[in-house]
Amino acid sequence: MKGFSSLLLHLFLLCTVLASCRQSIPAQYAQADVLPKLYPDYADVTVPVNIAPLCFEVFNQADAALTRFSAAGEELLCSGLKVRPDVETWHRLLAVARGGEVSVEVFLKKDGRWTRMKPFAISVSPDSIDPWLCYRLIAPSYVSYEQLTINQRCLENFTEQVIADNMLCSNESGGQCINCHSFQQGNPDRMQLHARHAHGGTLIAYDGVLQKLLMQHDSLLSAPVYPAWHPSMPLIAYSCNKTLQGFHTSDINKIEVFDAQSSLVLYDVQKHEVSTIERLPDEMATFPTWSPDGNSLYYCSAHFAYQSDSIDLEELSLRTKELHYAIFRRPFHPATRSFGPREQVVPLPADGDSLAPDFSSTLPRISPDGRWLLYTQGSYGSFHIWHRDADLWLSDLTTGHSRPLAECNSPQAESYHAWSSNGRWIVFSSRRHDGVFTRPYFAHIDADGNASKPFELPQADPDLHLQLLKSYNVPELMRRPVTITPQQFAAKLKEQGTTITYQR
Amino acid sequence: MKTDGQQLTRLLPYAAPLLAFLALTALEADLLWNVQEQSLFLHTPLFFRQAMLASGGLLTWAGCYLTQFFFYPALGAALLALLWTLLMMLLSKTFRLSPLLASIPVALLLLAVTAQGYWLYFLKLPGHCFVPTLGATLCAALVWAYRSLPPHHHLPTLFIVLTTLVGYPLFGSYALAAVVLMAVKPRHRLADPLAAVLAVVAVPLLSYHTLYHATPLENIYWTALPIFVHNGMVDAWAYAPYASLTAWFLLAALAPRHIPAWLQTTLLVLTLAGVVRGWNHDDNLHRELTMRRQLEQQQWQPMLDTFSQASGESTRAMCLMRNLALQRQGRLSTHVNNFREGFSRPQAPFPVHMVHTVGKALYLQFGIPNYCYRWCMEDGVEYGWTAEELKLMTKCSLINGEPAAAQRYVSLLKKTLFHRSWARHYEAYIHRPSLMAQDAEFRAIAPLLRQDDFLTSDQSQMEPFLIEHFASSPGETQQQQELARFYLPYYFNRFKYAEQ
Repeated sequence: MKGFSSLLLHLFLLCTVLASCRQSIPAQYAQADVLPKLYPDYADVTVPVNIAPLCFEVFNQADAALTRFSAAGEELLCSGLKVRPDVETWHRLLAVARGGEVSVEVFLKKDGRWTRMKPFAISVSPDSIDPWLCYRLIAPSYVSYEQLTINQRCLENFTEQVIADNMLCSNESGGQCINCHSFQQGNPDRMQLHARHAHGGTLIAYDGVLQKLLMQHDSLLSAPVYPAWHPSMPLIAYSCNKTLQGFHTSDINKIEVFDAQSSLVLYDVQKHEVSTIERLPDEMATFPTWSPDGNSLYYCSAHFAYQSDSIDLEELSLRTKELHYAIFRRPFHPATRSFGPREQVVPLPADGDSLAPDFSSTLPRISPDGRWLLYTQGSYGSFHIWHRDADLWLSDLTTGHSRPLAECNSPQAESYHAWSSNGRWIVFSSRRHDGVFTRPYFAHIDADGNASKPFELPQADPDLHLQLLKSYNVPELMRRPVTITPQQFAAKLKEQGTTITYQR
Repeated sequence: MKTDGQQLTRLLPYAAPLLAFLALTALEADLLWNVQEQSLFLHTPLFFRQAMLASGGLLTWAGCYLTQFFFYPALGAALLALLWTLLMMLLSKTFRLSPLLASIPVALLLLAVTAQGYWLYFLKLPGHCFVPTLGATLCAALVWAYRSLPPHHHLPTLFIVLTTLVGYPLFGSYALAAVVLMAVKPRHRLADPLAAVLAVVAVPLLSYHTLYHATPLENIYWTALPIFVHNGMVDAWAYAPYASLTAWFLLAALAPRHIPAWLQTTLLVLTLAGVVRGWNHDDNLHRELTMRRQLEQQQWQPMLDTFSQASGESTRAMCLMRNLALQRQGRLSTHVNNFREGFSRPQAPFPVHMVHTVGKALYLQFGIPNYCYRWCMEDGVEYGWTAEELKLMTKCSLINGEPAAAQRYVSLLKKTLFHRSWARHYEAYIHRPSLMAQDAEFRAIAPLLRQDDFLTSDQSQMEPFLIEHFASSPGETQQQQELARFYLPYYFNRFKYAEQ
């Protein structure tokens, strides 16, 4: 039915666009020195040359509105408080503005008089971005889940498709949670996702073969959770996490998600073998990621010694603010598939000794050129999307210098992030709009590690993100779309699945 | 020429919708009001598009649209009654039945509304009070259209195929039912049943593989129908109105022209007996619904009156609402013993936890907005978003100093028909938080808000959690200390208040 309703919507939008883009600029108008109130805020952002139209809504009080986008003699006019440029015309405009700017002027009519608001610019970077974005759409609930999907969105237009839908394997007796989609170097032919509970297992697609794996094993702390594909070998590093939740009675963050134990394992996609990378006493290792050359594994680890004799959940919930994760790296030897000793990267130890941080660094991601380490930092814990103080930080691996990526941060949580394949763009999760619902934002990163003002994922109807009571979870960029259908994923999940072996 | 007596006999059954309307408004006004609170209709294209993501989307969308009119229970009930009148006329015309027999589905549809009990909170079919009525009406209309078509050029056969292709996405299994009814009495003896069987089997399968991704394969033939399964427990009796309605339609399609009057009367009497028997008479549930509505209006004394008038042992939800009303009147410690304690389990075929019913509102009123917010979010995700949840989340966000979050919920409520004035009222608080100090409800909640924070969980057991929360430390304000004093004696026996 999506096709039918989409057809109606597209016809409606087409009519609207055709009707709205045939206006002319008023001959007389007053000049205001303030920017129009926009959602999303696209004033003075930098966009990739291949991005979809930046549709926005003007929230100033006005009887009519007219917006002019112009660059190098080309212009595009849109009328109405919802500004929705046509996709083809927009791309023609960006092509002529490549490396320069698109000027945006918003004219507002009130009581019969036009006012030209302070114009702003959209910088058009010649650096393109990978054309597809994959994310999970999930309500920011604490325990419950019902309808959740893993979607892919073409960033060059507004095409959105469902890759996997948990409802195909759910019923009133047993629900299913799908999560942790991950790709090898943005390649949709090599991907994985987990399903928990009903028909649970891990789905791995590898060059045309889709398999369901039952990855629980007595020798593992838990079924593998957070994945990291090796950049070239058929290997996935995982963390195994025993995760808990608690609910704050008064704290504005409302919920705490934390690990009681965690470790790292390595999985061989072709042999179905798993082996332990790191499982140390009093250490909780999680969030693995590979260096682009595949010769190092980065991850987070927190030192936490239980005062009780055994794992005491009550003690842990009382001491969650003592959970401080640092970022480590271990060299990887592809020939022997072995790892060298661990080395702390963030915070950088001053004299070679491990430095116990008083903050927590998570989700390390290395830029494709190997120079920059982008990570999330908050005051404690590992599940930073629930921490309003969580920000993006950038570390120069050549100097070890780290700085908050202030250009991208907000008073609300910034968390999951990924690099584009050319290393010039990042996509990251932010709750900046209202502190509750996560939206994906994009920012340009130049060769010196400077970020542009981020912009929110554009939508055909700018109202969508104001109405949608779901979060965008784990945004990952892809070079092409996934071609496996939700029904194929569901059919595979309903199969028995292959068990894995543990390699000591 | 019919006599006046015959005319009267023909028209008298049309009093059935009127009687149903009167019964609904007189006996179930609070149920209907709560039904719309547990529903949500947004006048936006996105809301429509989201409804259309499943087969039967148009029907559930229309059901939600009509449900909002229960804000004024008599208005919503009048709409239902009008639809039932239309249905009776269509059924009489389509199946050439007497209005007496055509009134039986009305009784069954009335039962579908009045028998729902605690399913009100747990049913996942949006607009469930109107969907079966709309579906049955549509079914009758489609069958009537089929039977009225000229027989040439295989028009009836084409109509069967078209009904399935277009009807299944829009109306779900009701369109399939219409096709089955067409095939039961076919216009073309061979082609129509064959086309119907093929279409009914193939179209949902085809849709599963090409159109929809949110309906599991085992449910594709039951779309737009309620699923009375909660936590793996099947409530078979809840299907009775739907099963009876299906049986009625099948019999009506096959029935001979003339049905003896005694049989018609017997069928009607049996149906009415079923309606009376199946009507949810749970006094406690009705009192909970009334008290919840009074709580919304901060009517503390009427809440206590409703509680006092209960004939049997009350539920814990009623007792907690009673405690709240007494606390608001400043009489909790002194007057609680004037009321009977109760431990009656909610009369539902599955465990009912307060956090899913009135508990969300109570958490807010008892000064724990985080837990109110949490359960609003959990239930919104699990059972579908409701007006009640958006209103509570607005209040929680205002109290927590989260204006942007409050604005999101207010903006959504402004897109409703009957909650927009509420939304505008609370939107003023976003822009001028100082106004909250003049709001009686916020003034009463503020002294109960605690500064200390605990990372814990209620494990869906609200009352033991509240007891522990209040009794574990005295708090700082006079109101917190009063609650601590009150609940301290309960502390060591708090698990006695756990819900099963």
